Amino acid sequence: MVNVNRVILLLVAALAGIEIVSGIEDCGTIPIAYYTFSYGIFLISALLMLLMGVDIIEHDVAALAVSTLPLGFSTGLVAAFMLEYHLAYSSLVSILYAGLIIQKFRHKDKSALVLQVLLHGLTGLVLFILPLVLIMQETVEMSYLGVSIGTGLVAIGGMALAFLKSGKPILTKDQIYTIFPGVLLLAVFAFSVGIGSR
Amino acid sequence: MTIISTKIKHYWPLIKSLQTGLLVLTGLTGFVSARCPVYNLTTILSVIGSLFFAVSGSTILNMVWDRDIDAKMNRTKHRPLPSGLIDPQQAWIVGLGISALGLLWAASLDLLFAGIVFAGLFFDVVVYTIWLKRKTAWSIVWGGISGGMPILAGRALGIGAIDEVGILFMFGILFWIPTHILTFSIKYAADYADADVPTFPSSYGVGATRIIISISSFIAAFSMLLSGVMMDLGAGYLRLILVLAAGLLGLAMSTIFTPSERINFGLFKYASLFMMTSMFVVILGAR
Repeated sequence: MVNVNRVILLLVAALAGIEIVSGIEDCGTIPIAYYTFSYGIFLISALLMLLMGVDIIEHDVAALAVSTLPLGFSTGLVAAFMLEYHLAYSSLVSILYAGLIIQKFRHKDKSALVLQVLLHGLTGLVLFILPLVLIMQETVEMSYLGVSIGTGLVAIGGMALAFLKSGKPILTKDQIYTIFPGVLLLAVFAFSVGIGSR
Repeated sequence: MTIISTKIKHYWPLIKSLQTGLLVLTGLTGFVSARCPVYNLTTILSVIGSLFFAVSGSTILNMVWDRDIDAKMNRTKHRPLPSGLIDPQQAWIVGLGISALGLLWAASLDLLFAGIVFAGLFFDVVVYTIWLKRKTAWSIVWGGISGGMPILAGRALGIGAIDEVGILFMFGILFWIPTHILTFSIKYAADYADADVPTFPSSYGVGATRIIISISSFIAAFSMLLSGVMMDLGAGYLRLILVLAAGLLGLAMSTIFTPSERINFGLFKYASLFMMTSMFVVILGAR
């Protein structure tokens, strides 16, 4: 791994750590729990990549853990702004995620893929669209757009890895591993700007 | 001048600077956690200096005693003592001298502090290294207890007594050390077998060792978290320790369910990072 990427991963971990400590303090108890979860995924992923190499993200358990990143943020958003849907939404994504884990460990790749697409489609849409709606309603400031941008960046990183795993990479393995830490840093920065602005 | 710099160059590996540095950091953390007047630079420097000398001294004594073991292991046979770069007699004197210097400096600060530092030194050199290391894999428990002494000493210096938080801190280190040592002994199992040193993997098997690593990681993480709660660390800092602890437990569980050399050594490195970061979090969060 090039040294620049080591520094970038350290920055990802540091920024996620700062957000966990002081960036989400006034978001409300339930959203704080979800945001902590997702920033925690950023933090732990960055540290593991730093210690074990970027390709650790391809490890089955790491991949499953990282795929929970949009779950936490999206459920946190729903809890913060659409509390009446929180129980239904969190139950739905939990069921989908539990199904995904079960199918993965049963090596039912096709049904796992369907569940993954459903899960990430749903959480991605919520994370991308809900901030836009909130901005249009003037419920939150314009900078809340950071959440949508962060979601887009995570989606780009996720898709690059998904194509790589499927054997039809859009970029070479080396290219993906080189840009991945940068994408993570931009994503965690965008999320921190968005969620921190309220 | 050249002779001195050569000596320092040879002796530096004997103190295991990273390990010593981490233990000194734990001692400093224990002290700062007591919300004592941390801006007293003299006291801070004395805590750092006395612990540095005491821990370095005990590490040198450990190295001298274990030089025959080190000579049999690929990983350690190039160390200055087994490779003959340093005279063992001289190393004994240096180790004892530095230990004594650390203890005297500690005693000049506070007798309770010095007593706990001495206990750590005694457990490490006499109980762990000389008495138990070659006899039983369980010797690491005593290694762990001695590793927990600097943080307990620092805390005791800060508040003037041994309290629950200090003991929990000590438990955090005590149960972190098996994670640190056992992942290492899995990686270098052949080396330890060559040197005839009993380890958990050789005594109880790698599978059982991984379960022990997970249990000790859990207790270490729980102790750090509980000590944070008891010292009123603040919700944000507690969340951060919780996240770091989750990473530690996740990796420990991965070594059981998806074992590989890479994950095992990743856990070894992460465990050190967990402890170091937790210490900084306590330092930053102490109010």
